[in-house]
Amino acid sequence: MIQVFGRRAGGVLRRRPKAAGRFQEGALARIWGVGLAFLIAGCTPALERVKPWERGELAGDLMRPDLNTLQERNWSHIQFSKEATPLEPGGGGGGCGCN
Amino acid sequence: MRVQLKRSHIRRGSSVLLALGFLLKGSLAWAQSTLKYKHLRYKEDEPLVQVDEDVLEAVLEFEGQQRLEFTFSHDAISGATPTGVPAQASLSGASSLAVRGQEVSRMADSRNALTAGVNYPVGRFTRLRGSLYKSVESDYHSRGLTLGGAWELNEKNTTIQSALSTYTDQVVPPGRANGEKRIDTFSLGVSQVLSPSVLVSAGVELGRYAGLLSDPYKDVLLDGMRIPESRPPARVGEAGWASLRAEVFTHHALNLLLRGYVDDWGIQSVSWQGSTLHDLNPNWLLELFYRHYEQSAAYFWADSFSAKTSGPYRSADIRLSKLSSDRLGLTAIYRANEAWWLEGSLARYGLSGVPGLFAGFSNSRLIGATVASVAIQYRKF
Amino acid sequence: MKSVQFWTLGLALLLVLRTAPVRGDTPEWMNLPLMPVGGGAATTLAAQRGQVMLVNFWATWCVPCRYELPEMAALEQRLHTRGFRVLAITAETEREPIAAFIKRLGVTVTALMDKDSALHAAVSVKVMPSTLLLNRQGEVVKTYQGFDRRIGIKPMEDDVLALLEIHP
Repeated sequence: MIQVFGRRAGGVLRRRPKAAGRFQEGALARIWGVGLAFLIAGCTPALERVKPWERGELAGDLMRPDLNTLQERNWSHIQFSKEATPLEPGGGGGGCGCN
Repeated sequence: MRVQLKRSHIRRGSSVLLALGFLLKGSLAWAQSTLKYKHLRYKEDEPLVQVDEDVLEAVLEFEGQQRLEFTFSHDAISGATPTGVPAQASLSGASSLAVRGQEVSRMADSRNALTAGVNYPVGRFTRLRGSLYKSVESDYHSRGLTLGGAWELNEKNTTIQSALSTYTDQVVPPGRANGEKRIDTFSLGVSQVLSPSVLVSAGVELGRYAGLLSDPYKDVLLDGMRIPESRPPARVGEAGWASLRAEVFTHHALNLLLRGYVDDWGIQSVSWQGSTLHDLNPNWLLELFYRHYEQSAAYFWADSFSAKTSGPYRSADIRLSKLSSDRLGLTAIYRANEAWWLEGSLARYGLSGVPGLFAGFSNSRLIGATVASVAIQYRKF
Repeated sequence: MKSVQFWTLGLALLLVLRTAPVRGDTPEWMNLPLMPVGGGAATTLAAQRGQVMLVNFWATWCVPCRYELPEMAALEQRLHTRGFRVLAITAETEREPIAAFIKRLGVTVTALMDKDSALHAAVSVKVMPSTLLLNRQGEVVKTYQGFDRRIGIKPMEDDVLALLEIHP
């Protein structure tokens, strides 16, 4: 049975086991809340700021988010081996937006 | 997601990915492909650790914009033992070296890692991705699976990305207790184009670790006696980050990233990093980068422990102590033409913190390291 | 009061009729100026009427465009004697990079610059690349969004051949 952070995958809305820490519960609630905010923000027409033909700079080498993903991965590995913070940010967006 | 990953899963997953690659609509005539080779050397100032890494990265894009991505890396690790403590008769890897007036055991190891992934468009606004990961070193085996997706909204001005990862690691240190570690992470991020030259992003991540989380090579002093460290068998952490990318002047861009992290081990950290990119001419691209990081200590961290006052968990690992780090560097990219790029990078990384078990360290600079790399990239259109 | 209502209604009706498109009227965007990349006087889409046209909206930074443009150029080479033309219109403003890019692609095509992106905005380009198919009367017959390399320009070619009344 697949469990997602202590919940069974088929019963995401069921109560968490009592043994789960308050920290874990709070973290999940924050993640869900932020996710909902992102989804709502993502559906706002006012966020259509740039037209498809205006994306030239976003597609260029200066603004491309994937210019040097290998370098970022190398540094994540070095930092992870020396520091206590295990997670690393992702993110994308931008680019030419073609097709 | 608690999924026990076995070799058979990796084999089956790899077969599925390969089959997907061959069944991709169109043909094996690749629309675009990028091949990149990089050699990186990480060398600490004291003769502690040196790592030479060779990485090969391949991204094959097909006519329908499906992508296969592979990364293979080989690390050669050498230097002092991870403990940095005086040589122990029970440890293998016999020869020793002097570090700050103390003898420590010399070690050598290698690590091989492979990531294979597929990135698949669904309609015009959605991309799904999946990847498998495997890494092997003499005392640590790791296997992982990542599933994620990206959704573009508002005429592709807004991008929402999400990913779920799970890793199963086998810790098999020679002469020490073996164990298993499970890592599950979830990430959610959003990017928004504000103008033709400004992109903002933000995201959150949640991670859970369970199993053997203690470092098998680390000891603590309990009432003067050396015993293995003991960390809690579970850890939950969350992070939030925000970034800005903007072409502030023509041919000059600025990237800023702020990240905060907190977990139930009592560790709180904040990092901010900035880089400037300069398009000097059609051939040269320069990047200057800097990162500053600070973290608090884990609640069970101390230099030494007393049985009367300490709890069940104890660690003197520098990594879990109150520390800060800085990274400063420069990357230069020479774009010979659209197809061929050359890259060189040089950076300094410094870690400062409180002294741990290894009494030879001072407060000012715990670890200083130079990181240098060269890379060559070929892109076919 | 009733007479006020009557005149108001009449005025509104007059305005609606006055602004309603009359068959045969040229849309305003057909008269927007387009500068040839190679230099010379500005032209308009209205001036190109009389031919079947594929009006392609592209950019040098648009990766799918670099696959689509050569196929369209090849189609024009085959059919230009039958009254078919391809116009490649970009919103970019610097002539030299556009000319150098077209030269690197090795295609011969009529490349035009859309001043202030007025035409792009007027026809509401939603994707790069986008293409309009115009008949000999200058009317938009079809719109194509994006470019799929697996299909190529086959759908456009079929529609162009139909308009040119060429039956394969």
